[in-house]
Amino acid sequence: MQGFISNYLVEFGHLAVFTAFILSIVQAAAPWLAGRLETPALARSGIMASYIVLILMTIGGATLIHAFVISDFTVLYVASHSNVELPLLYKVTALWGGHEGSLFLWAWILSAFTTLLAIQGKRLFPKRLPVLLSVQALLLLGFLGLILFLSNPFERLLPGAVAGRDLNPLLQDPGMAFHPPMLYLGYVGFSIPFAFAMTAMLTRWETTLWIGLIRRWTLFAWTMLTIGIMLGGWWAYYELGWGGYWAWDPVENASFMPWLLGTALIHSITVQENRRMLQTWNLFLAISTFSLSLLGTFLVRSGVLSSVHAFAVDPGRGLYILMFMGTVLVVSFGLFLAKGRVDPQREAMSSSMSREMLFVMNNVLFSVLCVLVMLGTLYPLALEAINGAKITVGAPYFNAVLIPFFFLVILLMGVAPATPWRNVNLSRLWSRLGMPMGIGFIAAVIMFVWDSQAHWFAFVGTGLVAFVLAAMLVDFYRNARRRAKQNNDNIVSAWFYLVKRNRRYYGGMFVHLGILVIAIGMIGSGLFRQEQVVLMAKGDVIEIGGEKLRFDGVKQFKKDNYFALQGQFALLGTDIVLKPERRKYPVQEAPTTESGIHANWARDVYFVIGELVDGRYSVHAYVNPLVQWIWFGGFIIVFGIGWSLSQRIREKRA
Amino acid sequence: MIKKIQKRLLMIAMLGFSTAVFSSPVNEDPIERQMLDIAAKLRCTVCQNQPVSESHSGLAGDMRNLITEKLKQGNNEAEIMQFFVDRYGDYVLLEPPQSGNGTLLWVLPPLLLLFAMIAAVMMMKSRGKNQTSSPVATLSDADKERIRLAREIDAGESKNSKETQ
Amino acid sequence: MNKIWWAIVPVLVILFGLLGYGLTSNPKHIPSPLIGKPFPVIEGKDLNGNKVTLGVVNGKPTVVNVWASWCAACRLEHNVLIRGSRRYGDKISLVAINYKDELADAKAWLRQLGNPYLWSFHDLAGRAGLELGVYGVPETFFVNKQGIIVEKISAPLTDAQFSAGVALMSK
Repeated sequence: MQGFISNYLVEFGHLAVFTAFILSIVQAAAPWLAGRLETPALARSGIMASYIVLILMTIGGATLIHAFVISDFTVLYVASHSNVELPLLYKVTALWGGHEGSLFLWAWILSAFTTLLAIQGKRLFPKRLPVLLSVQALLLLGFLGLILFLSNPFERLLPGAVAGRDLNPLLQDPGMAFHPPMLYLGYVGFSIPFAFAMTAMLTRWETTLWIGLIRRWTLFAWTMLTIGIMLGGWWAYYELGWGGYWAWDPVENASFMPWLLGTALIHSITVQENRRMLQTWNLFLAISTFSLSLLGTFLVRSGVLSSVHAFAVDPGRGLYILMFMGTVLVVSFGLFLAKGRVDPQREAMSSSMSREMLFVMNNVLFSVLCVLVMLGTLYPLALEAINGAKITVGAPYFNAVLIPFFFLVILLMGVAPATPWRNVNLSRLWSRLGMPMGIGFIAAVIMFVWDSQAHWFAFVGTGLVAFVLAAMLVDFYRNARRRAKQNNDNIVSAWFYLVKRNRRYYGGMFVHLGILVIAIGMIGSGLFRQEQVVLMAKGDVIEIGGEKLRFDGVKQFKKDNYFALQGQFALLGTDIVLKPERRKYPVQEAPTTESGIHANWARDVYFVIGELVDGRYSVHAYVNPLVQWIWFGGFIIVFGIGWSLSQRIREKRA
Repeated sequence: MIKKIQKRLLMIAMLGFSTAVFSSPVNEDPIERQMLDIAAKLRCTVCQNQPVSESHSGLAGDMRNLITEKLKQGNNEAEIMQFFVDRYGDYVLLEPPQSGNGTLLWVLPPLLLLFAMIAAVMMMKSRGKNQTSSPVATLSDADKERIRLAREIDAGESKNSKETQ
Repeated sequence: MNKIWWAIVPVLVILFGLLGYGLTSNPKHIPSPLIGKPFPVIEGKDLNGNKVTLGVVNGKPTVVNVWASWCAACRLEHNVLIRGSRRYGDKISLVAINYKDELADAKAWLRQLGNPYLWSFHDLAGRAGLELGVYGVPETFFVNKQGIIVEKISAPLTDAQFSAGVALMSK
């Protein structure tokens, strides 16, 4: 019996996922059947179904992970993405190292979100829950269909392979190991606002009654997506060895589009909560954001766009995902056009210059940014379809066109928090922003004096960041002083009190602060990078960005599943040694680079070792100013969201 | 004594010699720099969406060698870029052309922003005209509940919570 | 609903049209701007060290095939070229560029699989390849008598493509 179970564990997992597929049909049909048969109790069966689906998906995932851990090469997916010598961590994460497993992870996470939604809904919105779960189940069905019928990770390879094909060496990195799950937590998390929007339109559920509920889901999904994107950049920076972290690659753009629209959604939810406006717009954003998550999945998984990220391409799967996405979009936007106005009343905009109008401008900017990223990503395809010509829309285009838009976003970040709702008194606004504007101007001038040769992005960017930081400090000071006066308290403890009490607002401010810190890092590393490519023999010294490094030769060794050639670069004046590597993974025959980095708050010294040319090694040396600020800003953002979400609200029944 | 001085001098000389070795760092070949600056604007045609300057592919290596060769022959950047465009088309340029096939890419962004802003402002304003009833009078139960919650959250805080939230 | 929302419909139609088109097109294919332009005259040596000149060969329409012994797809394509050279015989000149290959490997390859070419230009450094916008072997140029490139195929050639190319050259 023992032997029987372990021999057929993967089949068992397969069966579990197939059962989940059947149960999802039940879950999807439950509310409609309940209506037809006039047995309301039937609707509740969807709740139980969602729990069981999660358990079944977990069984399926566990059997796959088990197959990876024991290196069961009779499973095709394991044989093509793992190897006996692969470190244990990567054996587990290899689950999503390929096409089939990635889709499985997507579906698995979706089932987990659905269960969480069921738990929340049982308490807060039991009447609408079956419909919500039905929408989620339909989405899950789409993915399970793809997994079971077109890209099955449970497929056997008989007779089994002697050794695995190994995981793509580029993916054998902690950043890349956790990049996909984070990204998918974000993508899939946006299915919740989507399901709410669909349910609202289907059952005429006033948006006001649930907009507060999706705020937290949206924030969570957005945070996960942010972490996923940051991890991707971090991975590119440490692993790809070109000194950068973002290349405007189509695959990166695919994850950036839902991020942009998700950012718009978070802000417009705030407007609706405060001013009861933008209800229809919020429905539209909720649908669109999730649609872009699907589009992102489609672009990556179908191989429509050429990209450095080489994924398995299969037109059958591409066609399936396209049809699935098409169905979701036609149904959801069709429903939106037919029944998108679910709220009978709305409040009017009282003044052109008010916080709500600036929020609207925020939404305009993020939506336009999203459209522009899509334009740049799909333009080559459109051009080819129209006249057969092929062009490249590369990083220089996106940087030149989009960065000015991001400057406008930063500008809003400074002005909007100082502007009250409904109506603004311009002289009061001036009293709040006059000094920050002066500080911003001075900062821009200082930057110009320091390096007048720099790109204009440097002056404007520095000025804007300084302006917003100053505006934020003025705002903190103003609030804290008022509080301190009222309670005869000192300003610092008053501020801490406010931060503790009003977590939503200050959490949001911390997120803004994180964005500014990232902007500082990007201005530094994007515009002031120093770079040299030299040939070095043992004992040679290179001078770059005020640092001197001596090349002390190379070491060669074998570790885990690869061979490494490791350069030794001593940072003179310290006992630090940079150790860039070139690795060769014999199974996949692909070389990878590991950069040697010494990082501090001011700059990264970043070395990549290349080929041996006439007895000397080709060395690519960079000094990247302020890169660490980018990762640090990411932590501030996560902290800010956490702080915002930690505000306890007593949830109401709807 | 003399020997000691001699020894010292020798040491100083050696020290000087060794620092001389260390203090002349390897320099980047200026042609190499020029080459990389040009290569960074070209797309490696076999490795999707990667500049020639960063690609490890054989073709990118050939392209770098050719750029170096052409620079040594006295060709300037524009001529070299044109050489590749003539043979590989605009595809080889990472930055799309500002005329011809790339025009829309450069014209659309500002127009789109302008259009979206005007549309947003007009929609918000026109809504204001249609709506004359006082919103306060039509508070729904949900809103009352929300206001109650908001008050609960802001309890003990300043009256300006509207502005700080 | 406000009329402006109906703008969603054309946007979706265009999006799906594009993505559907994307599924059928090959993202790695680059159309050559050299079609319709004169074939550049490039001098060099063949595999035996004889001086040869790329361009119109013997005053006849010329097929220039780019191959290498390390290229697996070239092996698949080779029979098409052999059949093509038999069918069209003296009506065309079939020459080749041996792309970034060692002499010994290239010669052994031709000995083993047969040599349909008048000669193979030895392009060890890939310099001629760059001159012709070659980005991946095999590639094939069809050059008419006037020296104009009338067609370029950047994939393993099929019999049908060979015939179509020859027809274009003879126009």
